[in-house]
Amino acid sequence: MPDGNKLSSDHRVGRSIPRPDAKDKVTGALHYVDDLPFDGLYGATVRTQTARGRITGLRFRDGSEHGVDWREIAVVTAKDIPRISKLDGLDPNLVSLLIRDQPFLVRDEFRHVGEPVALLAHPDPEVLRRAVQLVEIRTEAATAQHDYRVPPTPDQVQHGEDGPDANVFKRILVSKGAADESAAAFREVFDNAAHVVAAVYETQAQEQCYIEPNGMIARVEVAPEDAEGAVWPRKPWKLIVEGSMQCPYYVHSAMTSLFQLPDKAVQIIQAATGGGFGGKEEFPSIIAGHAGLLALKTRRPVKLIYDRVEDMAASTKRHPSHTRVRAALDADGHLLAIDMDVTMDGGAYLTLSPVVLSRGAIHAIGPYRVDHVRVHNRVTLSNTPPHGAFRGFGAPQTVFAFERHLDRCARAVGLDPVELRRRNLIVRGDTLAISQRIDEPIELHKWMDEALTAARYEQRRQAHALFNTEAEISGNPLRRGVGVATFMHGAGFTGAGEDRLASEVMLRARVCANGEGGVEVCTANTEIGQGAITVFTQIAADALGLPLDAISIARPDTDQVPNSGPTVASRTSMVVGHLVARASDDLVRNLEVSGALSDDDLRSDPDDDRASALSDAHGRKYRTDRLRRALCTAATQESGPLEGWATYERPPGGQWDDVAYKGIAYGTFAWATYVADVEVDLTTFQTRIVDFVASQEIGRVLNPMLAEGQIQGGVVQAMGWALLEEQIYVDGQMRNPNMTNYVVPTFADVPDVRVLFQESPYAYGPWGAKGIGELPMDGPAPAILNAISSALGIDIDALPASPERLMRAVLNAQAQEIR
Amino acid sequence: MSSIAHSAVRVSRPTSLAEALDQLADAAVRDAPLRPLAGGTDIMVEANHGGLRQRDFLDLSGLKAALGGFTWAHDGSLRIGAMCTYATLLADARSHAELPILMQAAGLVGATQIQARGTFAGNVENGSPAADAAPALLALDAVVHLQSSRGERTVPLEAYYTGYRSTARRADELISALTVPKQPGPTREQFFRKVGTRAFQAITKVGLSARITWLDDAIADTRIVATSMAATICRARHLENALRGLTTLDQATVAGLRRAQDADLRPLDDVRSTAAYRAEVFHRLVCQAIRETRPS
Repeated sequence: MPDGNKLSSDHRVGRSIPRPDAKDKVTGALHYVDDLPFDGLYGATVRTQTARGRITGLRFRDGSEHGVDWREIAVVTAKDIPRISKLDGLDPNLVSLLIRDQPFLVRDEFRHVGEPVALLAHPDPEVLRRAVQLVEIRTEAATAQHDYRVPPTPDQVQHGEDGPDANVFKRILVSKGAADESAAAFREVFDNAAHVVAAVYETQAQEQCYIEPNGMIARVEVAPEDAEGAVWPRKPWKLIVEGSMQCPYYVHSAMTSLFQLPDKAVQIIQAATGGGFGGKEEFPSIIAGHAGLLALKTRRPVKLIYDRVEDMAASTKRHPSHTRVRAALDADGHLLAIDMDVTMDGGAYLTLSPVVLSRGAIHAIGPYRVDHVRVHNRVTLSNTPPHGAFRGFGAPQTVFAFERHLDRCARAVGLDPVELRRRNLIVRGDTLAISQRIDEPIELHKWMDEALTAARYEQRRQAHALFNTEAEISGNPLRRGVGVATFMHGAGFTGAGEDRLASEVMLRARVCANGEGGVEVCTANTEIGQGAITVFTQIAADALGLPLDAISIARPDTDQVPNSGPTVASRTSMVVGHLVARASDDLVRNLEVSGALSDDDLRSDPDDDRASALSDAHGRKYRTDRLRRALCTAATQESGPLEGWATYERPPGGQWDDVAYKGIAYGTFAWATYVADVEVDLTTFQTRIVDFVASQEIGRVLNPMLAEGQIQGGVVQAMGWALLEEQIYVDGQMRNPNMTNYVVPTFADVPDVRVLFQESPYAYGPWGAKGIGELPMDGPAPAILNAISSALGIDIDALPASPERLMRAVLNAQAQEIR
Repeated sequence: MSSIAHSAVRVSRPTSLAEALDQLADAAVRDAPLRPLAGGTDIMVEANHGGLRQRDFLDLSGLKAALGGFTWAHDGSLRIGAMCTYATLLADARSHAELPILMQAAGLVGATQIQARGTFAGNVENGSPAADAAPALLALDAVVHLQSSRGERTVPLEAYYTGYRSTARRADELISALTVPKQPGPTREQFFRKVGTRAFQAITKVGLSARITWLDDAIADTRIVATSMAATICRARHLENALRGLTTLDQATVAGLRRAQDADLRPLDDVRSTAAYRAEVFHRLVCQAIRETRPS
């Protein structure tokens, strides 16, 4: 790339290329898993109805009055799953994830309402619905833990030994400066500080609310002569699962473990997927397993689709959190030390909680320079469905606590919240709380100012102060406030995570419909509404210097595509997109080696800067017609289509120390300042977001329309978390598992979200791009709550800032004034 | 364990009012009453959640000509046919000019699609304590017209609800229309505010529909209708009495209003809101209504 900051008009990267998948989605031509042609049985799940206990028996009540004949219904329970795997000696009934503790089907002990106990299959979904109601689960109750914040009593211990670590899934300590020396040295910083500010913040669970609920179709393929045998299947067989998911290879690994099959005997295919947001990261493995178990038992394809109620009640949500923050500041508002205690609610099983906690810990102190830091993080058990992956992955919780706390600190010191941030933001060469030195050319102060200018922050702040004073005198019930959050988000897996994934991408020569040569991009990364197909197309087209229609994106199918890692962690464009560009270069190199391209095919104008995301890997540019002809030949060669490959290589730089929790956590961060302007009506205590500015530095905008949409969507999702969304649990049972009573925002509830981008290219992302998928989830809640707190003159420290919560806060404050 | 609803749904589709009334009467005699189905916007939600209260329906879609639309009578009253949708009346300029709170309520029902199907009569008959249009109708002194093969009778909406989701309609009767009388005072005296769970597609957490008649500087007469504050939408009688003669909103008056309200309305905690929030906000809405309806 000749110039790091400019793209010529020939580039497809940097332009709002329309999505190739848009038309079929808008017209309804696209088939989601429930729309696929299907000839088989339907599956349904029988679930526990209490929070903790032991199953003593199942009773299948007579269904003759309800048109249910048990002889026609296939039933699978944990008894159908062997206790010891032939492959590894482990219990195949336990889902293979970070550890194995969550069963596909309860064998005896269960830990939450809605835990799967039995699976039923029948050709008529209506009969099945009634049959589920007829299964009686007999249980012996055990004492459930409903509050993740308090230590368990001995009879509540379900993970680890009784003691300080009982029911603690994971602890992480981040420390720096005096906290590394001794507790006394750390205490001394607080003792000598001009200001010490302390408070507690809480956040609630959140449902991902993808438009399409979870669903899977499974079938078993056997050798023809094996089809009728009494023992079935006798010969080697193959499990094929197709459905809604983010991570085909996660499902693949879970299925090889459950069914004790070699890799080749499991094929996982992503169907068109209507949104994921993390909700289809780890959870689909369980549904795939259930559908597979039924298919194996019934010898028929089985379709298992959740309706909205089942999906909301049984699947994973965002981890609730409780965070204590203590800050020491000098008289000028410089942060001297931070002491933070973060507790997250893991739910009933460990699932991905340690990784969620890790991201929360690393993002806790944001883009600020603090010399002395101690952040103690733990994630604990409670008897609710497991909390799992959700956009932001732990960061929104800690960012909320810290950014709210900065406003409190500003008031204690007597500074404007923006000025306090200005005095503490890092500059190039500073280190984060995790001791990662930021050497990239950041200009956080300038970028924050651009956001503030766009939001007219200063004017609004002054106007609101005047407005609120007058409103109080005149009896006007409206109060106005503006709030800011400044934060960052690291893209890709943490630390050595990407090394362990060792993602691979393959590009393959192909013949297009018009007979010309083209390329197929093969990755395991899924289109889940975010625009992965579009961005990969743009990257490959530019890397190769081919028109967009010469590029096709292979469907994620584990028989067809290499494992390029999961579609999570804001990694698809940045990490996998970079591999697509590198694999493009490899393909061209292989064309050269094979003799399909020669110097005669080079472009005559060497200054043409089209092609190659990589400045140094491959500088040679070929004429498009010659390249396409070469691809055509290479696609039809006898030995199979020519391929180009790329495998992840860690960018140069330091290491991450997973024990000390220090080092290079992420290759880069996206940096952001969000500004919210709100109006609270003291008649109803409802908050209206009047204006919202989301400004971020993201390296390179690959597709302005998609990037803006990604940010707006994330901001709106975060607005729901900030103001509306709340799961109501009674005895571990969700009482509002529907979209009437679990309230997500509509367009009428949100303002036009104004999006600004700054670009400071990252050397190891395609054309400099950084990941942005999760970033917009981190900042809105603190910005909005800071604005509300400013409007009311009362600190609101817990989410959601529902009218009910604001009313309690206002009435409490009034009662205290009277006293 | 939730109930098992499995028997088939039966639907009869009369093509005339007389036929409809006959079918209702027959079914009533057989003690297997038919449930009238107009826009279906409430019934479909019930069906989707597997909790249909009844499974035998009288589909009124063939009676759109007989029962649809609305008419303004010479005496200035508005007759809303049983099959008149929100969207139909929302297109009527005179309704906006004379009955603004009914139009505000109609415009906040669900969203555009629901407004195109849902009917005023269906909203009244559904009997939800969180209804949108029914409370506005009650504040405007609407009357329910019930027809049966035996003839017609009218019941003031005020007397229509006999308990949670139960109404004065007999099994052989059908709502044929609702009438809203000509309003005695200027439209400024009408007040409506729905406090929903969100801006649209929302169920009312607490709502006030009111008509406050002022004579000189004092309140002469009121209709104070509470939504989501009791088992049915209802008028708050103690509060209405306390408001009569009121001139200013000083601290003592406000406290008195709150006491009167508490004598009328004992809201509940549920998944959508809290009793404390409902009571406090209803009180604040009443104060807002007084301020906003007062002649300047």
